[in-house]
Amino acid sequence: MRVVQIAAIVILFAALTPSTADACSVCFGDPSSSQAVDKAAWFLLGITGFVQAGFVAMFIGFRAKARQHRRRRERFQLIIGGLP
Amino acid sequence: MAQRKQLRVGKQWLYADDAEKLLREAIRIRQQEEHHERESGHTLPFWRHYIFSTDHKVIGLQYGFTALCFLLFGFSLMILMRLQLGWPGHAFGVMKLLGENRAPGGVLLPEAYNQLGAMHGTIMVFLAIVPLAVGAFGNYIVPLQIGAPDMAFPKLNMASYWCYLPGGLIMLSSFALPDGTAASGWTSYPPLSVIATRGQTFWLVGMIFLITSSLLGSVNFIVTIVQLRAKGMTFMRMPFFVWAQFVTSFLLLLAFPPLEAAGILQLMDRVAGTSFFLPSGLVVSGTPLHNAGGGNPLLWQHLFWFLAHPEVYVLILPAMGIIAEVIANNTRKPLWGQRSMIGAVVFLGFMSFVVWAHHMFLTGMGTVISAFFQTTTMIISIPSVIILSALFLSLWGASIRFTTPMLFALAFLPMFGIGGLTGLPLGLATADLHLHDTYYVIGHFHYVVAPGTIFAMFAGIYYWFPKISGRKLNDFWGRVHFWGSFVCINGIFMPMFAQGLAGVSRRLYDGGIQYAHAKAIAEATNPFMSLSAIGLLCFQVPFIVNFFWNAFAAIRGKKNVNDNPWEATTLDWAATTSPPLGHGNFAVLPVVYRGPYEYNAPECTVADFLPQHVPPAAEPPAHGGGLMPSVAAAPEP
Repeated sequence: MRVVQIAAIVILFAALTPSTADACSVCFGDPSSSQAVDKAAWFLLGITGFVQAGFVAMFIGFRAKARQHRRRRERFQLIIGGLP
Repeated sequence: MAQRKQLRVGKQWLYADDAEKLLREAIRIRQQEEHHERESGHTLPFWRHYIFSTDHKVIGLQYGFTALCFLLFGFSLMILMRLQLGWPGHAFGVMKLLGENRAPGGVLLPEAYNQLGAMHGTIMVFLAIVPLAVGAFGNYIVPLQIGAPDMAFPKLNMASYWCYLPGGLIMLSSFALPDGTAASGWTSYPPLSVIATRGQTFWLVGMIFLITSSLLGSVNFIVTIVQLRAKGMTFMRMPFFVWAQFVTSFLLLLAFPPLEAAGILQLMDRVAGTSFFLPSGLVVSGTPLHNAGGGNPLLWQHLFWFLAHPEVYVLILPAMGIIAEVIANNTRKPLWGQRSMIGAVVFLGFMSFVVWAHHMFLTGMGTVISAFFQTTTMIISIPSVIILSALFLSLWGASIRFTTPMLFALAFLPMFGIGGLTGLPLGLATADLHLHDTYYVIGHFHYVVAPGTIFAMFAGIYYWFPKISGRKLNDFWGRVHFWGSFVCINGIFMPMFAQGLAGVSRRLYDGGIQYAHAKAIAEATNPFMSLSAIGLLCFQVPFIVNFFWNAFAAIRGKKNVNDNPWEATTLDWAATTSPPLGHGNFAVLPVVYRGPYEYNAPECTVADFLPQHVPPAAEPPAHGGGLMPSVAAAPEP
């Protein structure tokens, strides 16, 4: 909860700060330079890598959960014929 | 540690909390069954059953039929373009269909040619092939192949189709505008697209609908494949087609949102006076554009190709999946290197997001970023080669059944190979300087998509038609369709490489005859290519007649094949022919015991195949069938 609150405050602060619009994704602060778009491309690559890493993490999580689930199932023993 | 309470259920003792879980699960399953009973069968009114259906099979058929109509329409636009390219400036009666303002006296105007080009590309990619590959085949086949009763979100599935159809109709309605459709190519590069006629606005609105449709569909596919697999259907037991659709869904989910955002930004540039993509000092017809300034046209190119390169894999991966199914079935062998193929397709999915800027070497990118994208482009060719090699090697030593779907599948391999290999020079900046925007590029991507993907789609239609309808398409006319299409399609696209290498630019209204360097080759090849296009059109007639003849016969209840006519192993063939059009594909959800391609395995003693759902002790009947009583689909109402 604390993390969410901190994240919300940071996002709110960023959204309310006009200077965040200075280096927009169109020109990265330098409309006259073609190299600025290259920076945007690197930025997009970074975002893509981050999101793809998220997908990888999701599947690693699935695998871990599946293992955990299997272990739990194996631990549980059905007592056939009732308790001794 | 607290002692867990125990209950006696019959002769068994269960922990109380586990018993409660089981009870809840039983209640949930019963509620689901009751829901399916309500939803399925003929109790639903026609419009709920066939129009606003939530059943994956009906939605798959809706997607398929709509996409085939768009495919034919997009193809017809190409015929008009080829008439113009083959015989520039000549009057054709058929051109008069476009109206006097576009083709006065039957002679196509240059701006109308641009419109045909833009709409041909858009319709073929976004309205025909992707919906056919993903919306139709994915929707119909994936739940059956993983043993699911339906898609995870049936209503979302319906919403997906009902975003797709209006999107397509909005785009098509721009043909009725006095100033015509979008004419800025399927790439819609600004600033040209921002200052274009109203058709471009229709294009953008249509695209927003189509992208929304794809996003809804992709989420549904991912959840369905992760959550609704039958018992025993581990990821490595999934057929390659399902893997291909799975990766494709991730591509759609990740690649389309940037284009949706970019589409809205371009729409704002056009209608709200913003300047996201308009550079400073833009002058149009001698007049400075008042709202232009501060924007960057290259930003659109980045955002467009961020979608459009993964889109190439959205086009090709389901096709590879279909081909894998057809080849495994008709070679009667397991796929060679199936695990490598799965690894390759996943790797391909990841890499497809980091190669987009190889479409933009000529925009003045820095050398570092250019080198980066050249490297990734060379790397991405590796998984494609692995998949193609595995498919080729699967043929080795096989006793091949040369059925109609197999003919299309066999043709796909070299055709896709040509398309892929001719793409390598385009991924290197030095070669791209010469070849960029020439007919070489057109030849390259058409080999990937037309004799590549579209042939795979035909393979899929011939292969799964008996599953859907209970009838096989006529084999003789299938072969006529195949051989005619194969010859003609090469007649269209092969000369494009020669044209491109000679420097003939694409998008030329007259095919290049006004240019000294292009005149000779354009005059030598264009009429032949146009005749090939007309031939290709003629060879689609047997397919269309064959398709509708058998579809109507199936509707009248005339079935001519058993449940598993190809003697296949995957779960889609475990349900009865034409599974009931309503929720639920199997009376009892099947259990999977083995991988998807158990052909001629040592365990096969009675027949040469062992379906995924057959328990280890049992064997399928000697001649076809393969349907076990435990998974018999619900009887038709």
